[in-house]
Amino acid sequence: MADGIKRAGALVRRALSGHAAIGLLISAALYLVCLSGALAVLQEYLQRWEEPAAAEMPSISPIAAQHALESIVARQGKPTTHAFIHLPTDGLPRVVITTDNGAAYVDASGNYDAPEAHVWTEFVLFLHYYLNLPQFWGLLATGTLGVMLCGATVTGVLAHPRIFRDAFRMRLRGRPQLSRSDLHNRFGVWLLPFVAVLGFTGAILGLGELVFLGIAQERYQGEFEASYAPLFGAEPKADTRPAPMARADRALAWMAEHQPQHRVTYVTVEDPGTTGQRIEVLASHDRRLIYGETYLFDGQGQYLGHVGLSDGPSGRQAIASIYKLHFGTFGGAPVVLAYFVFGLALCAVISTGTTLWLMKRRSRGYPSPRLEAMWGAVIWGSPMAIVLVYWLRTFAGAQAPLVPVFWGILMLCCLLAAVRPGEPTLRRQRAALGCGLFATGVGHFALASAHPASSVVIDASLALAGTVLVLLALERRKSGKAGERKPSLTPLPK
Amino acid sequence: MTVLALTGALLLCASGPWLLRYGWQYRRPPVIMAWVAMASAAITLMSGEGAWGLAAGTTATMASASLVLAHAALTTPPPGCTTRDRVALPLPPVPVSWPDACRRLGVFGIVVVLDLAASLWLAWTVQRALFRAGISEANTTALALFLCPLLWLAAASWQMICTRLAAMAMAPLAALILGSIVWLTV
Repeated sequence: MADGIKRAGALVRRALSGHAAIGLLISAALYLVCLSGALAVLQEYLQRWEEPAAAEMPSISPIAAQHALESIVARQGKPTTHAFIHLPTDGLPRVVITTDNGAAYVDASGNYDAPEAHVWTEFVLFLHYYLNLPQFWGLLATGTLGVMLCGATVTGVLAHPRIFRDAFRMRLRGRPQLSRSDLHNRFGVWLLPFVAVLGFTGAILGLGELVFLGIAQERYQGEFEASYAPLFGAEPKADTRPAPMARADRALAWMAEHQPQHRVTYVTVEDPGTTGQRIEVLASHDRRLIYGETYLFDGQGQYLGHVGLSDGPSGRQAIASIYKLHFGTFGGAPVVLAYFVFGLALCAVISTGTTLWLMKRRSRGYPSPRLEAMWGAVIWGSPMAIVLVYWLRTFAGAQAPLVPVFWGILMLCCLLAAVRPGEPTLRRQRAALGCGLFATGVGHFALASAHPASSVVIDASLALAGTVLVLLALERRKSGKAGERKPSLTPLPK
Repeated sequence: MTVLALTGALLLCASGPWLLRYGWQYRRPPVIMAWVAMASAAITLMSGEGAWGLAAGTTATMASASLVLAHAALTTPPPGCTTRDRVALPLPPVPVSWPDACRRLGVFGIVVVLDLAASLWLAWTVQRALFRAGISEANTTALALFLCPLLWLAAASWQMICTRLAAMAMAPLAALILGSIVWLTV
């Protein structure tokens, strides 16, 4: 029995060591992906918040949608291989026409309203999808992070033998190491299904490129898009002879007549203005995890069939289900909100994981002040940088270089922390972020030309979160140097 | 599934963590009730609404658990006498151990590079074999998409509790050999 206990103890030690190794390897990149992912869950609400002036409507008639499609393509005056109509949804009650040459909002009559320029929201999304790297490498990186997150989850469970005994201990006002340990372990355990699903679906989305690449080489002479066809439907055969614009209005009218129970969210016209053009109508299915079903129509708006995401082979349905599961869009606003909170909690888990490792190093007599300061700069500097690039976008316009500025700010924060580790204290960083969030909430509300309920909630939440952070920083200041850690022991024996 | 039944099942899911908290460490009946409530709700949701139901139920449980944790954080009193975390006097820095650095590099190479290659290879060969055996392309492609990260995860999780590099290398080597056998035979 003693042997059994010893073996179990050794397993826990090794699992903890492996857990720490994974955490250290990926923590900063994973933190950025999770922070931007928490925001990406709100993408529709953020787009509406970023561009408050665009025309809004609960729905649009098929005739107006057709007019919008034709007028925007004609206005751009250049050929395009695809044209998309985003139809109003609960999160984004706007119609957007997107082609290879740009995107534009239209009003309820289908007339041009304004160019779509939600560059800050796109920046956040691309930070999450690709870490702002080129698409292939970015997806590979985020897919790898997904696998490592799942690996950290498995080793975390193995390293946690008192998982049930401590299930509800949350001593946030205890000693710093204890409070962080409680936060890390409790959130890690109770959000286990969320973290596992998020990591695994993220890994599938990221590593999928490699799998499709292999299949394309094997069966389709390297034609990448052809390997998608068995799952998402094939592209139409090209026939480039000119033709009048595809009749999306007829397709929408057909959907309203034959599939009234499903809400149409997106219309895609492949090769618009050519004889080979085809219409794909995406309709969401309630109480299903699939992102929707694609209904196919020819250029005249005649129904051809559907792809089978809802009732096709189980593999097709399974793959179509990972998107909603990953982004939390399967249950309306309550699930979106829950995913946002879980996402922030996951950021706290990642943050406290590395902080605990640094604290343990310090308590063993091997402090790493530069590393500690740099980790603090990543944790508090990255949300601050996201806030700052929002203001850059507001004042400099849609052409502002958000990506280099974001990474420049983050690198600068890390550099400052490395050069002067004692200077940017956590309290100051928290206070700065709090001020930034508060100013963003108040400033946006004051400057915005329209105040839909979701945007007001975002503004109020930002102001509230900012106030809480500033108050916390002030409280810590009052407690003075009590929190400062001074050596209290003689060197520990190695 | 009716709205009422769905609401009831979701409420059962949400009640689980609160019942667990109520019986935590003291009362066995509420703990048993909690697990029964969550299990029966999961079965009801799965049978009535499929994967969507299970996802919704799990989200409700996690949201409820987050509230329980928030309640615990707010109500746990601060310790009367805070003892500081043990902080040792800084020890002289340990010189860089090159063998250890090489070992860490080796772990990275095996867990990240070799594992990815091996899991991708095995997933690709398995889907190819099944496709040639007549399984629909949608299912074989989906299988490969799921299998690749799953194999990598399994290998990495196992490697993280290994102590020697040679033991770590066994998992990707096994996957590479298995994938090659499948590739050569089908």
